[in-house]
Amino acid sequence: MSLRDDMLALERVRRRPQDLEREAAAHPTLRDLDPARLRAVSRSFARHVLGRWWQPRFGATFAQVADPGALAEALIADDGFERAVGEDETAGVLIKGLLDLRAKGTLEAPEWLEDLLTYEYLLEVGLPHRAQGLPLDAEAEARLFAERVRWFEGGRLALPLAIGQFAVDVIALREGETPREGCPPLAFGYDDEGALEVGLSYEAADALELYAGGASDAVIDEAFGEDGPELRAVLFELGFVQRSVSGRLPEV
Amino acid sequence: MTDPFDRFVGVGLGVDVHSPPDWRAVLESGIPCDFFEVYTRGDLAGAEAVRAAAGDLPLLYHDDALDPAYPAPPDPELLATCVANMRAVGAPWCVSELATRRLGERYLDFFQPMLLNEEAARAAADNMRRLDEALPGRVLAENPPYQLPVGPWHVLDALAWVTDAAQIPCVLDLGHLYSFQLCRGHEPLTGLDGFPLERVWELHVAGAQIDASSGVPLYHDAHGAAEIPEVLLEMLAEVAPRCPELRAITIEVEDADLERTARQVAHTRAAVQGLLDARSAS
Repeated sequence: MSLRDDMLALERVRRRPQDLEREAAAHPTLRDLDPARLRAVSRSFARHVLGRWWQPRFGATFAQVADPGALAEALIADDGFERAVGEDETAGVLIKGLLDLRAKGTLEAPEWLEDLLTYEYLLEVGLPHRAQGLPLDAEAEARLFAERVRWFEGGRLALPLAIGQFAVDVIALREGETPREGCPPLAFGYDDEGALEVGLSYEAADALELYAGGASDAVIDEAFGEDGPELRAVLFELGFVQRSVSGRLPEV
Repeated sequence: MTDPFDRFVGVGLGVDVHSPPDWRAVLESGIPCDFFEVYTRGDLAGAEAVRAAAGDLPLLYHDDALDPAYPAPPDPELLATCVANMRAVGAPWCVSELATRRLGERYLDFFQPMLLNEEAARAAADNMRRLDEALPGRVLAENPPYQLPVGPWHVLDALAWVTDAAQIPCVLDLGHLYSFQLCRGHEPLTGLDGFPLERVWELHVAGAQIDASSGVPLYHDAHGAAEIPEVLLEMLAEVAPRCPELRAITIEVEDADLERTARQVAHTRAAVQGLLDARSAS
């Protein structure tokens, strides 16, 4: 075994102290490690990574987990940790690890935890990284968004938009407040200037979907009846929708 | 022109241009400070700014990217950055910990200290020799902090081996030494009697927290985010007069506010008041 292999083994066992016996069999230099010290160092390291990598961006999500420290230990033990981009800048380690634990039924947390994670992810990574051209973990994002977030762009939309549908008041949870019942659809957009987040009615969310398909004002009016003109005006004022070539905007 | 670091300069501060305390505020504060040891994380503009504002204050440079404990030559780009930063501050030496932040392609975001055996010491010595030849001044090997030492050697034996093989001076970080002693259940200065103290050009102290909540004492090297443990000041008072080539005592203060910085300076200077008095007398 080379020095480099021993160093890699030490890095692994520090994240997975339960593997000490197996690693030491292959890397004799690890044989003298004290298992109790190794476990203490591993726990300490997990909490260090939690405090540095994830808590500042996903504090509300971790606050809803029964044992945040245990979650961090599971995340650093995962193979995905070795592929982290910087300090998990894409949140790929957190998302995949958390969803895998959830699938195994080993994560004690509210059933809507993924909704809250999605919301924090959009604010902290999904939108700012798009606005700044920074990397994203497309696979992790697709798994997280699933039935919660749909992206729309093109048609008559003035900018790419994500519409999020959440089972819980994620805004209140993020702010540390008591959540109200339900949560209206939320629209998230970004451009070179930055990101934005707007609460929508269900009708407005549907209208944006139609606009993404290139719907004319007439189609919107037909779909939403007497609410159509006001919907059109609001979405235009928000900067979400381009003015129709032939359309005429009503007064708001 | 003589190099101020040809003799004992006194007690200085290790300041990070990207972290509190604001080094400009330190300069204006009147806190006694005989030199700065500058951490820039490679930011050349930061190095130039400190040099421009520091006036006659002597400056040293502390690198944290060269990864001398990794068994491969230093990255040429990172080496060039270190050279540029050293030149910008006009440092006669660069401090580099015997640790690594990368394992091959992987960036760890934390230091893995050198393993404590001959193979690791040989790899570190090879790199320190390369650095000493490539840098515009000397490189000083610093003993790294330990929570989980691997290998049969004492860290002081490893530091002695590396500095002998590379023919370089060293920094003895007393907090890092204490972190190792805690792991092995030793007294704070175990192993020092056989150590070549004439190679110690610089001593480090810093704030730290010792967490024994799990039943195992873990040393957290907190620098300015915690007070300097009393045991480190006692170690400093004992060790500093025994280092015949000592030129600098550095308090690593990043993340401290000015109040704590002033307190750490007062405590450290008090621990080595005899050396400071002797310097003034000479």
